[in-house]
Amino acid sequence: MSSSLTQVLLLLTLFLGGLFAVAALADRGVIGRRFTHHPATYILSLGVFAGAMASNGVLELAHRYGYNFMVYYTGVGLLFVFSSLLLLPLLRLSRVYQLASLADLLTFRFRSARVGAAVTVAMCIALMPLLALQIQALGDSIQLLGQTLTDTGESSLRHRSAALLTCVVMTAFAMLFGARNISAQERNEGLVTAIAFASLVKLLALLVVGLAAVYGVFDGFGAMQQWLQDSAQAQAQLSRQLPFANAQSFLLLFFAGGLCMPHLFHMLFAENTESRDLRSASWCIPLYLMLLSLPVLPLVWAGLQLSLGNGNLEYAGILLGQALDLPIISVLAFLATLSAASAAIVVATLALANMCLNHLILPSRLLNLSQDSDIYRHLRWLRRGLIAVLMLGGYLSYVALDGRQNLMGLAYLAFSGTLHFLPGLVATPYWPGANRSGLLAGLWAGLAVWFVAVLLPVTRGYTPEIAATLAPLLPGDGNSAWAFASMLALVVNVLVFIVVSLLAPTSEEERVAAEICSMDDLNRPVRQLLPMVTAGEFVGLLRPALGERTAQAEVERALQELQFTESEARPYALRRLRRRIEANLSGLLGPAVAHNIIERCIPIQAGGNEDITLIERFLDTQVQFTGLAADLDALRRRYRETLDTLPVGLCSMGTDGELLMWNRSMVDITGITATDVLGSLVSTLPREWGRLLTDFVGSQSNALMKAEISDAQQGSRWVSLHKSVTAEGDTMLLVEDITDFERMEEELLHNERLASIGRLSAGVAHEIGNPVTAIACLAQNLEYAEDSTEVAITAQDILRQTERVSKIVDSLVNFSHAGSQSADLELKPCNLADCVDEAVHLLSLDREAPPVLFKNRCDREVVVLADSQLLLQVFVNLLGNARDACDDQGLVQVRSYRQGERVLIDVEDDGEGVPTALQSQIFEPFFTTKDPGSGTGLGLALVYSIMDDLGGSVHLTSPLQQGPRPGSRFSLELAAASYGEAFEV
Amino acid sequence: MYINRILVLALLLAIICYPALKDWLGSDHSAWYRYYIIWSGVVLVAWLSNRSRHPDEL
Repeated sequence: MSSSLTQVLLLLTLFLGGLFAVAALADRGVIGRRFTHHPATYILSLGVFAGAMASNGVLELAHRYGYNFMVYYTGVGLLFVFSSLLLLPLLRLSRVYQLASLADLLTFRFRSARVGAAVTVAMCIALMPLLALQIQALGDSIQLLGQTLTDTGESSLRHRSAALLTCVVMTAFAMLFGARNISAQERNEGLVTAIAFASLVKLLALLVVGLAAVYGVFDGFGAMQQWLQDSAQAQAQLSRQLPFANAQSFLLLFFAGGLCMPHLFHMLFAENTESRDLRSASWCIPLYLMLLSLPVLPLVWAGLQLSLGNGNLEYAGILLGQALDLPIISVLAFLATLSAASAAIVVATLALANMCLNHLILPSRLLNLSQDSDIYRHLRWLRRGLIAVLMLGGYLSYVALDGRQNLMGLAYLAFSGTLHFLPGLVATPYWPGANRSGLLAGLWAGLAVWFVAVLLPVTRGYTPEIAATLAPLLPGDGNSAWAFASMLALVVNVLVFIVVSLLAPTSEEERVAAEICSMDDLNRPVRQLLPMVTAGEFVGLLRPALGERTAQAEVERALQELQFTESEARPYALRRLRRRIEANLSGLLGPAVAHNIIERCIPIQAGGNEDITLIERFLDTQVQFTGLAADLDALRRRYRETLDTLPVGLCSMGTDGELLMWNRSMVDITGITATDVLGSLVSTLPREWGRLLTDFVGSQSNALMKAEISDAQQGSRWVSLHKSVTAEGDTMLLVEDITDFERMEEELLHNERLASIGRLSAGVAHEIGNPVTAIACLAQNLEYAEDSTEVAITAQDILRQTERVSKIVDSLVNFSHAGSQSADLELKPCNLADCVDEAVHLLSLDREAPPVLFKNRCDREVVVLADSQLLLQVFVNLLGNARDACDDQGLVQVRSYRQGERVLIDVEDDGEGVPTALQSQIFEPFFTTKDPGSGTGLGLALVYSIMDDLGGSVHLTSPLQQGPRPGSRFSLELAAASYGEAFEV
Repeated sequence: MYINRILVLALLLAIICYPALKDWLGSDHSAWYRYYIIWSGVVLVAWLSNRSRHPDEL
C-alpha cells in the first residue's frame, strides 16, 4: 500500500470517526436539543439527496450539457417550493399513520401487502445503481487522491478494497445509529445530526474548492468572466442541449427522484418531528441546492482551461488541487465526495432495510411475533442484518458494473427506475379512484419496459432495440435512446395504471383508505362497535398475535399518547385507541402486518353512522381550507357555535346511544363536561342523569315536563325534557333547567297560601270580634248586677276568656293587615338600635315572663329603610319568641352588620332551638311549638309577612351549637338608609 | 386543500414570462449569473409563501 493511500485511508478514518462522534454525542444528549431539534439540522439533513451525483456526477453533466446541469437541482428544488402540493399532504399521512417509507405509504393507501412487496423489490432493483454510484465515486476518488491513476490490476484492487472498507464502516454506522429506534415515531437524533453535519461539510468543501477554481485558475471573478466571453469552446459547451431535446423530462426525472428516493423520503418523513420544519425547508433546500451548484461551472471551466481529467470532469476538484499543487483542495474535494456518498449510502440502506423488513420479511411470517419474548430486540437485529446485506448488494453492483458507466449514467438508471413510483404517489392524495390492481399492473408494466429498454442495455452496454428502431425519428445525439426509453416506460406505467384502475373493481377497504389520503375528500369514519368494554381488555385481545409483553407495552404506549386510562370505556375512545395501536404497530411492523394483526385480534363487530366527533375533531385541528370550502367550514363553525351557546341544554346521540353533542348549557345543568361524556354511551352518564336520559329516550313520549334530579353536589334540580329523531336515526334531546321556575312557583304558592289565610283571618276576626265584645259587656254587667259570689267568679272567668279571644282576634287582624298594606307602605329611615331598645322595653313590662337578659349590640349609627311600627312589631315578636325559648338564665342578643347597601340583623338566643324537621314550617300561620293556649302561631308568620312588605327577608339558623342549649338565630336583611336623613324612631 | 396564492401567482407569472425569460437567458451564453438571479427569485417567492403561515398547520 503506497504511503499516499495510507494518508487517504487516515483521512477517511478521521472523517468517518468524526461522523460517529457527532452521532454518538447527539444520541447521548451532549449536543443539546437546541441544536439537534433546530430546523437548520433537519433542513441540512435533507441534503442527503445530494449524494455523489451532486459532488461529482453533476460536473460531468455540466461539462456535457452546459446550463442543463441545473435540472438536477431545480427538479428537487421545485419539489420543495411546491411542498404544499405533495410533501405536506404526505407528511400529514406519514405522521398520523406512522408511515416511514414509500412502501408503507402505498401499502396503506392501496391496502395490499402485495403492493408493499412489489414496491420494495422494485426499489431494491432501482436503487442498486445509486448505491454503486456512491461507492464508485468513493473508490475513484480514493484512487485519484492516492495518485494511482494507472489502472493496473493491483491499484484497482487497492481502491476497491478501500471502498469496501468504507462500506463496512458505514454499515456499522447505519447499524449503530440508524437502527437504534425501531419505531417510525422515534427520531434517530444521532443519525439526523450526523447527516446534517455531513451536508454542511459537503457544502463548505465544495464552495472552497469552487473559490480555488475561480482564484487559482482565473485570478478572480472578473478574469473568469472575461475568459468565458473570450472562449468560444466554453460558450458552446454552455449552450448544449440535453438528449431527447427535452429538459422538461429530465426535470421530471429529478423531481420524481426527490420524492421517490428512499433516503430522502426517510429523512423527510420518518425523521421529521415538526411540519413547520418542512415549511422552512421549502425555501431553505432550494437555497442550499443553489449554493451547492455555485462551484459547478467554475470547476468545469477550470477543468477546460487546465485540460483536466482527459475529457471526464467528474473528479475535477481533486484534479484541480493536484494541478495547482494545492493538496488541501484535493483533500476538500475528496471530503465533499466522502460526506455526500457516505450520507447517501447510510440513509438509503437504512430506508431499504426498513422496507425489506416490513414488506418482505414480516409478512412472510418468518418471525413468530406471538412467541417472541422480545420482539423489539429481534426487529432491531433483523434490521441491522438487512442493512449489511443491502450494503453488500450495493458493493457487488459496483463490482459487477466495473466502472462501465460514469456517475451520470448510474444516476440516470436509478432515477429513471424510481420514477415508476411517481404515479402511485401522485394518485395517493389526488386520485381516489386509483386501485391496487391498477397500481400493480402499471408498476410492473413500466418496470418491465424500463428493465428491458434501460437497465439491461445500460448495464450491458448496448442500445435498446426499441429506441434504436425509433432513433431516426428522435432528435439529439445517441443518448436520446435512453431518455426516450425511460419516458416510454413511464408512459406505459401511467396508461396501464389508469386503464386498469378504471376497469378493475375497488374494494371498500381501498375506498376508505383513499378517503383518508385524499386531499379533496373528507374521510368520514363510522362509529364501529368493538368487542370490549374497557381499554384494559386490549392487552388480552392482542396477546395471541404479539405476546404478553409486547401487547402490554403497545397498549400502554397508546394509552399514554392519547392520555387515556385502562378503565376508559367510551366507545369513541376505544375506537381511537384501536386506531392508535394500529398506527404504532404500523411504525414498528409496517402497515400491512399491523392492519392484519388489528383486524384479526380486534375485529369490528358492527358498523354505525358516521363518527361525527372524530370528523369534527379532524376538521378543527388538521385541515386548512381555502375558497368556498373555507366559507362552508366557517358556516359549519358558526352553526356549531350557535348550538353550543344555546341557553337550553342540547345533546344528541346515535342509534346506539353514543353521545355526539353536549353543549355548554348541558355542562351548566349537569355539571358534567363535554370532554368527559362525548363519545360515551348515554347509559353510562354519571349520577342520575344516565337513568333519566336513558328512560326518556326509551319512552314513547316526546316530552317530559318536569323531572327531579337529586344531586349530592348541586342539590335537587328540576328539568324538562324534549326529544326528536333525525332522518339518520340520531336522537336530539333538549334539556331545560326549570329549577328557578319551580322554586318561584313554590314561593308563589306559599304567598298565595298566606294571602288566603290573611283573608280568612280578617273574616274570622270580624265575625268573632263583635260577638266576643258583646259577651264581654254582658259578662261585665253580670259581674256588677249579681251579688252572688259564684256568679261574680263565673263572670270574671268569662271576662278573662273573652280577653284572650280578643287578643287572638287582634293578632288575626294584624296578620291580615300585614300582607295587604305593602303597596301603601311608606318606608323611612329608622335607627335600628333605638327600635330594638323600644322592643326590649315593651317586653320588659310583662312581669310574668322569665327574666332573660336582652343585649342590644346593634351599631348605634346603623339606619335602615323601614316602617318603624312594623319593624318594632318584628322585634317584639322575635325577641318574645326568643325569651319564651330560654330559661331564667337565658341570653338574647341582637347584632347588626352593614353589608354594602344592605343591613344584616341577627337575633340570637341560647334557648332550646328549633328541630330541623320543623324549620320548613316555622313561618307557616298557626304553626306553633308552644303549649296549647300559650301562642297563636301567628307571630313568625307575621314577621315573615312584614319583612316581605319591607323589601327584606328573614331566615332561621338552628342549632347554633351542640349541647342542651343549642340556640337559634333569626337573620334579618333590610335595605340600609343614608345617615343624616330625618327618621322616625 | 390549501392553495397558496403567492405560489399560484408566481407560477402563472413564470408561464407568462417563460418566452421572455428564455430569450433573456439565451441572448448571452456567458451571463451564467442570470440563472442564479432567477433561482434567487424562486427562493424569495418560496420564503414569502411560507412566511405568514401557522407553524404547525398541515
